[in-house]
Amino acid sequence: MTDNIDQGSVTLSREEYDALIAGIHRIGEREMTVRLDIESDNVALNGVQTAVNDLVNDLDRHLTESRDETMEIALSMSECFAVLDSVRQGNLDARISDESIAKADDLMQQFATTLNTTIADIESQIETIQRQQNTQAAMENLVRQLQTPILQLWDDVLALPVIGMVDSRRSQDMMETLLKEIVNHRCKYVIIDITGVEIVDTRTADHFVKVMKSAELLGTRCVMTGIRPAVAQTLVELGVDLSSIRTLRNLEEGLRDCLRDMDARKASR
Amino acid sequence: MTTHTLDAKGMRCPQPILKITAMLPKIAAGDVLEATADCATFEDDVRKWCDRMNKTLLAVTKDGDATTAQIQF
Repeated sequence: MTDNIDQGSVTLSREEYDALIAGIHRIGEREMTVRLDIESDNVALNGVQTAVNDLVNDLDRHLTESRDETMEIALSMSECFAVLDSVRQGNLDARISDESIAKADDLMQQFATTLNTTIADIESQIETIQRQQNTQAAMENLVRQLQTPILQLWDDVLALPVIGMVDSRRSQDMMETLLKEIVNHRCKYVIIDITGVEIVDTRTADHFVKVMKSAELLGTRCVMTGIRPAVAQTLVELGVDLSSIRTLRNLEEGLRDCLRDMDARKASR
Repeated sequence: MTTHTLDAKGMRCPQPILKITAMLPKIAAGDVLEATADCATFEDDVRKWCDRMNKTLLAVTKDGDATTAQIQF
């Protein structure tokens, strides 16, 4: 019995056949990084080796091209992930670069472009909201300033006309603004006119008392004017004690009172 | 600094790269990822990935068919 492999006119020895099969298996195992390299004078074997190596070269080239394309998709996806992660951490300037978009395939290009557009839209919306918030804050500031207008009625006489509701915050603003103006003008008299205040409860009354006592600590004489009849009635019903502060009917009487006191002090010198 | 690990052995390229990518949100800047894979082009792929993503490839070590890449985020 012969030990040769006979396929028509192609004849291989058993050793040559085994080496060929082992070499083909090795190509598969090593992911086409090796080639057949069996030393032989056998023309048939060398022909098979050349054909197999050419085939493996072609397959390797195709696989490499395919792998490179897949790798490029993987890299583009990585960049999309990185940009999303960066946005999640608050960096709205993060974008996928034009260079990376140009390298990507059609689908990834579309995805990356959409992602960039979406981030730009979000950034634009946040800027709009911030502008609105800034405008609102400026408006609130303006309203606060308008809520506490300080008027100089006479030399040494300031007036604070109060209109509407007085809550803790407004009361605090009133106190800060009034004390600052007292110091700036070095004034000796302050008239707080509450003609425009329609509702006064114990808390509001308490705010007024605090504002006036603070002003008096700076050496000014304080007068409250313009208490409406309904307000006076409410204050009595609530048992609010305004005995420590001077109250007069209206702003005119308040100013006259201040001027009288001013004259009396001059005369006593 | 924390060291994270990723075992991507048995996966074909570029699957290990996608696995590394998926870990991006979980790893803080300065932390290190030790990723191990045994696909033939892992080292080349991980170098490309680090280059594109501006990450630092600290070291590449081989143990048989397995390649371990240390990446600083």
